[in-house]
Amino acid sequence: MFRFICRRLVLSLITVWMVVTFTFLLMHHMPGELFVVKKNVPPQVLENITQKYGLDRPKLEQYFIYLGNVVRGDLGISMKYTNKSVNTIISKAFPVSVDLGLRALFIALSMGIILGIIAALNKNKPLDDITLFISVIGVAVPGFVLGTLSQYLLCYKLTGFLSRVTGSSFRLFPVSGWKGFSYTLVPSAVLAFGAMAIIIRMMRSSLLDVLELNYIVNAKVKGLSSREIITKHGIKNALFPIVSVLGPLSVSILLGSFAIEKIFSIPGLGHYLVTSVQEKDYTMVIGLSLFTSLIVILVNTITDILYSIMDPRVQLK
Amino acid sequence: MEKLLELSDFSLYIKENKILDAINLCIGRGEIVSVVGESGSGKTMLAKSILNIVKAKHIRREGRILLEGKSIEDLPDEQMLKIRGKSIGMIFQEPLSYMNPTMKVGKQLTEPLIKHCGINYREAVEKLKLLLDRLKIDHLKEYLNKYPHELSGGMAQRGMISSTASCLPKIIIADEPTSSLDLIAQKSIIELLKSMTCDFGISVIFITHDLSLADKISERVIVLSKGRIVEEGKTKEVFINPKSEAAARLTASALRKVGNFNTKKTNAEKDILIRIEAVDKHFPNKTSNVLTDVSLEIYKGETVGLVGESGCGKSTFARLIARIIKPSAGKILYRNEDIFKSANYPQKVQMIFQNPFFSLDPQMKVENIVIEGVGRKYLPKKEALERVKHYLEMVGLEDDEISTRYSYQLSGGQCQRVSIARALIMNPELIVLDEPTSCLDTVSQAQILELFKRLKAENKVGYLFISHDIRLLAHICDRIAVMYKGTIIETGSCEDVLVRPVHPYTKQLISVCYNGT
Amino acid sequence: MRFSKGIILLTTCLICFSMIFAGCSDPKKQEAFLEENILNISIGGEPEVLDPQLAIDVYPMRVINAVFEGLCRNDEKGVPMPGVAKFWDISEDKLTYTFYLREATWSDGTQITAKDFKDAWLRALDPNPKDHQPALMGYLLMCIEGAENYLYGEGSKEDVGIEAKDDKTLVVKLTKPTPYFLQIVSNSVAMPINSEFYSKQPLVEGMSKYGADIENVLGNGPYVIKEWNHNEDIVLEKNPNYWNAENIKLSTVNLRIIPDNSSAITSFKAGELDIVEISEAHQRDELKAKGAVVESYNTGATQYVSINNEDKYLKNVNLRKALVYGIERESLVNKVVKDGSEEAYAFVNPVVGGGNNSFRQETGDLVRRDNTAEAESFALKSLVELKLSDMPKLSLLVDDMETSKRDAQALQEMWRKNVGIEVEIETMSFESIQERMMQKDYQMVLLRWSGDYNDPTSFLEIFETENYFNIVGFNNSEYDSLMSKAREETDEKKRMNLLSEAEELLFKYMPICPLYYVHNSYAVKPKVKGLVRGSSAIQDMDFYWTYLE
Repeated sequence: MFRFICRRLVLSLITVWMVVTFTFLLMHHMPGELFVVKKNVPPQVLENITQKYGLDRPKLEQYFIYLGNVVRGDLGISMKYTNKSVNTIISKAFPVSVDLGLRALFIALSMGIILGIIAALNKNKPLDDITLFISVIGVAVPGFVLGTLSQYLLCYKLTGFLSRVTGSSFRLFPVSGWKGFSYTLVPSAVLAFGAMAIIIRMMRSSLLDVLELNYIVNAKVKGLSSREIITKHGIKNALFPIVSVLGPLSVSILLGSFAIEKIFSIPGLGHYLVTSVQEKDYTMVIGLSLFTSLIVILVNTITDILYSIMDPRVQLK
Repeated sequence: MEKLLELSDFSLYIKENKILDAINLCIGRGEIVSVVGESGSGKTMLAKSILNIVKAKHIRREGRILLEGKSIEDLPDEQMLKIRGKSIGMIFQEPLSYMNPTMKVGKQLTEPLIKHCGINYREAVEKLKLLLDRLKIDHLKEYLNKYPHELSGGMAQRGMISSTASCLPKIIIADEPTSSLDLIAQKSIIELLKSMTCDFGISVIFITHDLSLADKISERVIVLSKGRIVEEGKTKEVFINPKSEAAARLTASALRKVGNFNTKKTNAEKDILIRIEAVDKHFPNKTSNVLTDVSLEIYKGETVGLVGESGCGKSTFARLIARIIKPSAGKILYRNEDIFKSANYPQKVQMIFQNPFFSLDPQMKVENIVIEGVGRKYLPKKEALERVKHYLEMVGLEDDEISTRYSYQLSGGQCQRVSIARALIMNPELIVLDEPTSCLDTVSQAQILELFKRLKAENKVGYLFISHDIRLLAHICDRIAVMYKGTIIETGSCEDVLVRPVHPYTKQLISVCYNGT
Repeated sequence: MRFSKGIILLTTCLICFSMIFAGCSDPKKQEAFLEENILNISIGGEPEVLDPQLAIDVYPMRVINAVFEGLCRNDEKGVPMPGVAKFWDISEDKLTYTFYLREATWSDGTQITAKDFKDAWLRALDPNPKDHQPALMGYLLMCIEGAENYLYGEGSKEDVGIEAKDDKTLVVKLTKPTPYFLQIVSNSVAMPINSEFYSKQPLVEGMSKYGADIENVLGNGPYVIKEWNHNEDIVLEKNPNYWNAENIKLSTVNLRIIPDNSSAITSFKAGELDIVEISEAHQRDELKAKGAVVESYNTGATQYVSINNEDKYLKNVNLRKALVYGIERESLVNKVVKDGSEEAYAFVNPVVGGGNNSFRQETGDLVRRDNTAEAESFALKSLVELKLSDMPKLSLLVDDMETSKRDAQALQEMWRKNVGIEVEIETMSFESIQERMMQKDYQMVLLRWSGDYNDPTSFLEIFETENYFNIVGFNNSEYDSLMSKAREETDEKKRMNLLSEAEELLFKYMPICPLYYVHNSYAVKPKVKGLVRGSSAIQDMDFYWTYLE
């Protein structure tokens, strides 16, 4: 295990270095002047700013200066939020995204697995079709459509209706913001939907495959009831494909929540991921790329370790 | 004798096909009965029907099954649960695939006890230990803490049997429990089953395709063919005097002692084809070497047999020769060239594996499988098909239609023949056979052995025949090497090893194989 | 068995944990939102920095206008009224302004002095600031003596004509009479800075954290920042130390940062917001039907098509006239834009003052209305002059905002119908457009222009030959001389006349195609009174006079 982690560490350093270099090259080749202001600012002033950030120095020099800073853990100052360091911005925004992401992951996993089991056990019966329908919606309907729709129906219509009916001013599902438990329910449910759809399908087919295997027959022969067979032998072995897909799934939830964050006004990292490129905030873009690549590596490593713990046949290499 | 289990006029239909036809059967208390038949005769279906675990659409059952006088053929599932495991237990052929790979052995084996006898885990372990002790399983605590893939086939099967027997069921149905094990393990399991009967009065229905094995274990035998009972009676009598055609076939294919050995090495020449020199093999997570200081020479055109119990390193050895893994020390030379540097080695040395179904690509037709190695793109289609036909005929598959079938549409014996054809079409100098018949029933096995004898006479191909059953090797090999715990302890001509064994282990092996004691 | 027990335990733990972690929604907090005298507004984005000298966007300006105050501030009509300065004297030659400050304090109680203003203005002009970005809006103060030299790095700080005579008197010397100087003084770039507070701010990589967070802001305006949750909301509370505190009626303003406007509108409908911007035309009717008050105001910007006068086809004036007359402005405004914008028949926005009335009223319209019939004849004339047999195919650059694309398609349709010209729309990011514009690598581009200060010059100067932003390539010596004469002219009326002449001259040559004056619509709950929406960035939204009924 120790050697595995060491190897992963080296691999992640190399990967991160490649990401940083690549992003640096891309950013500096984007079209347009750096400080685009829709006002008639005299060119002299713009020149002063360029000098200040060292952007008039040769690219190679800029690259090495930046790399030197990164090694010391300093990701620089955001060029848009001129007196906040990239570290501060990320450290304030990321926990919110993680919070949202974890809740969504939790919902996706639990609901996905349960519905998948129900679908498998009721194969070709109406219940199976219903869960299939749910999963098709999750895969086909884009996140922002689902988000806006649920915002309208649940947060506006339903909550308004309940408020009027009960007479209190307590809002069950607030429309936007991130100030309490009730604010988290609708956004995480919407974010979870897409992943949940995938998990339902996987769990269903995986469980059906497992139930064909020999040791299930053996369990039956031992006299265990269907319920016992499924819970003790079936489910755990059926979870493996989901664990192996958990890595990329978590990453896509954690980092792909931009649309949901925008619709529900959640102060997470998604906003920065998109707008920093448009606004040519160099330091922010590279800082974010570095950060996200670290997250991806971390999540994948955790998944691998989890898999090896769950399945005794698998050994970490 | 008391009638414990009775089947009267029991028939099973799947989609209007008659799988079992009017079975009439009686098992008494404390009796061991063998049910023998070729593969496909319906033995497993019979076992599964008794427990009502046949999984298929459109099943129709007729007739009655009585357990201690009470009919159980119509029982709903909740009540059937109480019978399965508690009154009737079952053990299967291949223990490893019948165990949950992610659950510890101890937990799985104590499941029936916990479920049916209402005791907790610790008490169940105690009870189980008593049974496991009989099987001479050392280090019980470690054993129970392992996972199934860490056990050998024999250890796992012993565990399964103890687990099934621990609830003291009235009947144990054993569906070919020893087919995938080597003979020494086989012996201990047969002893265990016999002691179950003696000590606890458990009846055993022993399903097998090997009549000689049935002879060792049971007094009564029932012969099944195409879903029908064709013969019944005392095992010895049926063995010596088979009345039905099916029984006759079975008797003929039972492996007996070879009378005379052909000491003339008809095809052997003086060239050394493959030389294995002081090879060690060590796997990173195992403490000791799998192979230690193994040396062997194989001459061109010669048939060498390698025998040893399961777990002694035979398969590792075979994989080394097939270039699948590399030796940790030592060299393997092919005509004085290191095999890992040799260019056309795969063409010269072919390998045939144990499980015929798993060696063939389920998505490929037979003709494509056979022609694959030769390089289909270099041959025009007509010529390719002709070649395929030629080799399929050589291995005894004359039916034209077979070349368009897929592997799952063939029987085990047919699949193995296809593998042999695929190997032969490459014109190799040596074919390595890793337990090629252990997954086949005795009739098929006998047929394949005949095939080898014929091929050996016709071509100049050499064979390296690896098996746990020395009786097989006796029929076909020129030389035999005996492997024990990773080293070759004895080599010599076939006759020398069998008639005048030197090493004590060899002696034990021979006595077990031929006498069953 | 243990596995499933473990799962159930884990699930229960996680649910409890998540409730605690997120903080159970406080019903009292929710109710508080709906109390009296609390205003809930959405702003579309997080203010980057609350530093009056460095802010350029509308979002920080809104907050700065509430939290800081300059010598003057704009009144409900956009005219500068006394702020920190009680009154002021202007010299005869209009070159010297003397401001007399009142007894006013920063929100922490320290007195505001004239030095605070001098420091702030010099900071805005600093060409090479050590611990902050150069102020992009500093150029507005270039009318001050010595300021231009200092800003361009050629002069010294001491030579700039700002003097703090004593704690409460500020004397400013201008290079030439600037009638809109008081407008500049109300602008955020001229707001004061508490230097002692500034020096105490920590540095992050050499950059001062002034304005980055709630503890880094010290203001003197009618409100103080009570909470700043980045990307979530900013809560403003009434400043008890403000000199005019008794006339500020709101107790709290909640600025919720909601980037997605349709989400903001849903919030508005659900009662969580009191004011919301309207981004789509159909929302106006919808919200009106629900009982909201829908208003629109002139943003002070003009939407127009900038034409490259150096292009081989578009150098022909008749072709340009054809394009200008080919647009049916009325139907553009009423059927396509539909947000209260007005048709533009000249360039300078009506919001710009010029003498007694707005400059626009004084100068009048410069493009004939309802002239689409003539458009085609102009086009044919140009074909003859350019010696072409067919109408040339032209390209129009458009940025990727929805409104721009919508306008572009309408224009394309109109030009096809009325002039017979095929125009190809090229959509790209604003940065790419900027690059091509500055290199004059375009034929036509859809743009919006607004002035940084309330004077016609801020619109007309971009057509001067030497101007950095003259991307149309308009080169007319008569125009240039009119503009410089206007700059020298001290008499206000004469100056306005010169500027009117200049704009009239401009439109003889039709270098651009004006479309409409941009208005913004918004909706308010009927209980909100006294909200001022202005025409300048600093007064985009003013809560000074706002109260709830």
